[in-house]
Amino acid sequence: MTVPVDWFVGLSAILFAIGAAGVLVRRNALVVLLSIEIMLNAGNLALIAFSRTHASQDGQVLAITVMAIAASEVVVGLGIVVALSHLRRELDTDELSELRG
Amino acid sequence: MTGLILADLNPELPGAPFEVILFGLFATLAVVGALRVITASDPFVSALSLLINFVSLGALYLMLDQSFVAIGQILVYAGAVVVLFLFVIAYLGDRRELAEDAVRLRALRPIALVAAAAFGAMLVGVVIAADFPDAADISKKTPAGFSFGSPRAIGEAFLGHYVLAFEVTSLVLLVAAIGGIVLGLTGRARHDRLRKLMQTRSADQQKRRYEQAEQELTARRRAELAAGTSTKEDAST
Amino acid sequence: MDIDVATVAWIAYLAPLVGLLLIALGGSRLPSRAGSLLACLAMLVAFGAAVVTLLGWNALDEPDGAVVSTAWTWLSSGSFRVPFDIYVDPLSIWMLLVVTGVGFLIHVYSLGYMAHDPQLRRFMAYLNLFVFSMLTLVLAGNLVFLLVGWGLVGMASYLLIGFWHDRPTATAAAKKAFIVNAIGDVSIMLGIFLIFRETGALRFGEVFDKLPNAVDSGSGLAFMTCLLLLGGALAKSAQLPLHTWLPDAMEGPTPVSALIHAATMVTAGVYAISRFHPVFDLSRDAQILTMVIGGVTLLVAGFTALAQTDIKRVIAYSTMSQIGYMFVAAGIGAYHAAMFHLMTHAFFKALLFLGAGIVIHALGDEQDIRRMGGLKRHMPKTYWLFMVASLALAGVIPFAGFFSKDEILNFTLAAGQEYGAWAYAVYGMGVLGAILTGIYGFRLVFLVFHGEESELVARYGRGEVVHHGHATNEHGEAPLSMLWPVLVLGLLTVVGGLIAIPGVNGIPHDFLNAAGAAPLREGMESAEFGVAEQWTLAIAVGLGAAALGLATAFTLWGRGVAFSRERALGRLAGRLEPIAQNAFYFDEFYDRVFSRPAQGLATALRRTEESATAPMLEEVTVAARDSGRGISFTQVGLVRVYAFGTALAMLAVVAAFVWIGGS
Repeated sequence: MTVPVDWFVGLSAILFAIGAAGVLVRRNALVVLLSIEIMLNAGNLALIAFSRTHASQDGQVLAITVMAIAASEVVVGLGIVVALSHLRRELDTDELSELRG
Repeated sequence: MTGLILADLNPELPGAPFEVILFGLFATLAVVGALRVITASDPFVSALSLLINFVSLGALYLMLDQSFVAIGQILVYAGAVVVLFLFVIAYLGDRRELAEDAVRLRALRPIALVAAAAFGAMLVGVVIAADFPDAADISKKTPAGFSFGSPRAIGEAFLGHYVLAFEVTSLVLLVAAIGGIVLGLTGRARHDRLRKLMQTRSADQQKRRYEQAEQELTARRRAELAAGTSTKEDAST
Repeated sequence: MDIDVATVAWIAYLAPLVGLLLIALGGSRLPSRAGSLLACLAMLVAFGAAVVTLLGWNALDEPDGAVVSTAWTWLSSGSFRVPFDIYVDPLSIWMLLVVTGVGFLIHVYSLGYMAHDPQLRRFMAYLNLFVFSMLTLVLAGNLVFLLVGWGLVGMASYLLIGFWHDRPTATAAAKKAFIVNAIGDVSIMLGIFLIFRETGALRFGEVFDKLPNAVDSGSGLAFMTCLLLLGGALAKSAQLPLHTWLPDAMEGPTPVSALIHAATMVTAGVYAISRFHPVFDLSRDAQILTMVIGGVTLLVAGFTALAQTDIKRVIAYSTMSQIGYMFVAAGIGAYHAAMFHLMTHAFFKALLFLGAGIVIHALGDEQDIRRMGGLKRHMPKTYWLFMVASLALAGVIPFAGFFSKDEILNFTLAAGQEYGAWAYAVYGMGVLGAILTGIYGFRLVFLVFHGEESELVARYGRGEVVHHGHATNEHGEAPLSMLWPVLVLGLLTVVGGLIAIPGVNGIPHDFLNAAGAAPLREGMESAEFGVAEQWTLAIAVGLGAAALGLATAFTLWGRGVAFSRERALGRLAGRLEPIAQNAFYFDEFYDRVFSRPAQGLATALRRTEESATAPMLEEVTVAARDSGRGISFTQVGLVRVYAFGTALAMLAVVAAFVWIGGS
């Protein structure tokens, strides 16, 4: 492996920051979900990179588990979005503030 | 391993630069895709950009000799997750964000961008500052006779040391599947199913509560609709 | 022909269980009639198998104490093993025959008695459950299963007493029976624990082998063990002071009263004492206590029976009194006499109950004897059967009760040589009790069947008794399905005593003390006390007591006088009557001593809770609510703000790491 692991981890950090920005800035619930996917994938990339560096299976196992959890999260998240869309016209997260104290 | 194969396919090029070029290509694609996800005003474009991001990451996994995870990445994310998103976006139709005037947290946007940028910068700084070890040699096979990153190695890990995590994950998937079904039920069907699911001694009570909640929600929705149309009318006049 | 005793005993044991399971699993798919017949069939099989068991036992060349058959090891933990096994010896065969025989007849009787009950199937299933429980108790091969049977019997009795669960009185009576029995259950369980601690064995054979070495004769430990076992026996057998549940248990259907509260369950205490007789043989004090309790109970119950007006309650107190005799016999160590009286009592008491059941059934569930009278004309067969049972109860020769009761009295008198004044005192109580038995027994006969026809009976004669809102149109003799089990019992009551004619034969004694079988009390051989004059004297006294009782009853109620003559007893002992009517105020006493203090404590605790604890909790909730209100402004409800907070926190954490790592 000629590309140093730093590069992969650095890329992972950049992607994570982009995802975080998306979550903070966007108000469309769908896009927020997409941004979360970016963050999860950034984490996965770091895991995979370290797994390769140490020639250990642990990182891969964790990454695959993250994939499974992400799939669950998408199912439930999208389910909620669809259910919300039946009740409300908007999918704007700022409008969904019933839980205000 | 895969990286070596790629290098072997291009014997005339020196290995190192070729891999660096590949990394540069896919890393750029991933970053551009990610940026496009959060900047596109159309969720449809966002989802497609995410696809680019996912595929690029899959290629990067291949470079890291993780063929199984790479295939999983393509199948699960690019194949299933993105398609699911596209379906939902298509189903819900065009729902662009409200105009800037309606945004309540207008001040948050620049602060959030700065915070995210600072966060990313800090992470990158840490990565640069940190001293990572060189990649381990994986050309030798494990004593059990399988190579790093192969499905067999992962299977051994999952059904061996990580069997509990494996089982718990499967349980989470099951719960998510049930949750998806429950959330997906709508209207009358949902009412009936929920009542069946919650069939206890006080089913009638629950039914009454549920109907009450439904009525309230409907009334509120109507009121909101009425309010919305009236404001529009006000604006037009 | 060789008979495998163990196999046949297993068949007898499991037949009622099979019946129960088939009825329960069949549910409503099984027609009511078919389910009931199935239950009777199961009992017939059980009784047949019990008879074959007896034959097989007698055919054994050398009976070796007991035949033990293990089905499987139920519990196994280290050296602690509880096998699921049955223990077949003369004692358990004796009980097996009584339980299945009387049980079968009462099952058949129930077909007629309960025919109109919509829940006949459930009733028959419960009856089968009860018989199975009782057989678990008598056939258990080890202490643990004895306890299991003991508890199951209590549960089955609870279910049956409360069978008419829509009657508040029935459910209250069921609960009372269950609670009082639970006291006994705890007691006998502790006794069994003690035995296990001292001997380290659970199977009867081993227990009784090791017992003499483990527990010293006459020691406090032996007395304590006996006391605990006795506590269980007292509750099951409704002896003082744990007897209060039995009269109330008459709320159950009459066949239940006959089967459980006369013939079988209440004799479980007598069986337990006989089964554990090696323990009781170690403690003279416990034996004296047993016989005194028996003596006092038979007097108290006999006296109480004099003034009761509910036909079933009279018989219930009579049951207590008769079991008192059995306890006397068990106390002096004449276990075969106790078992003999247990058997004859099962016959004539079941007969009495079933006869009473016919009357109650005919009169539309009327149980008050003040509204009866003159029934003889309408149901002569029932009258004569009831008469036979009462004669046997009173101990008139040649009915079964005479032989068994006088055997007990004889042995009590004879035991005076060994136990001294206690035995003579108990003998006196027994004779007095015999007089009382004659009085209350024939009071019932005269008031129910003789005398002028009451208004209710006259209506019955015209077939106009109203039951559950509609006329029954029944008059005359009871239906045959109810009558023939009663006839069989009547026959047994007449001839049942002939198996132990003094000086001629002694089948109970010979069978239960058979060579090799667990010997019932060495030294109680009748030969030792066999002074002929004494036997003659004892029999004369017994017969005299019965005659005196009959004569008194005849004087008071026998000449066709109206019920007002009942007051004669009041004139006779005006101050005693209310005591008898209220059964010596035991219920009131327990109410004052146990119930009310407990209720008072509960009330006090509730007041404490209301006045002290609740306001404190109020403060906690108010504080929680107020603090929640105070910080609720942070919950803006906007997801992005929350996410922003999370991101900032992460930023801070990473910054902290960097700073620490860099320094």
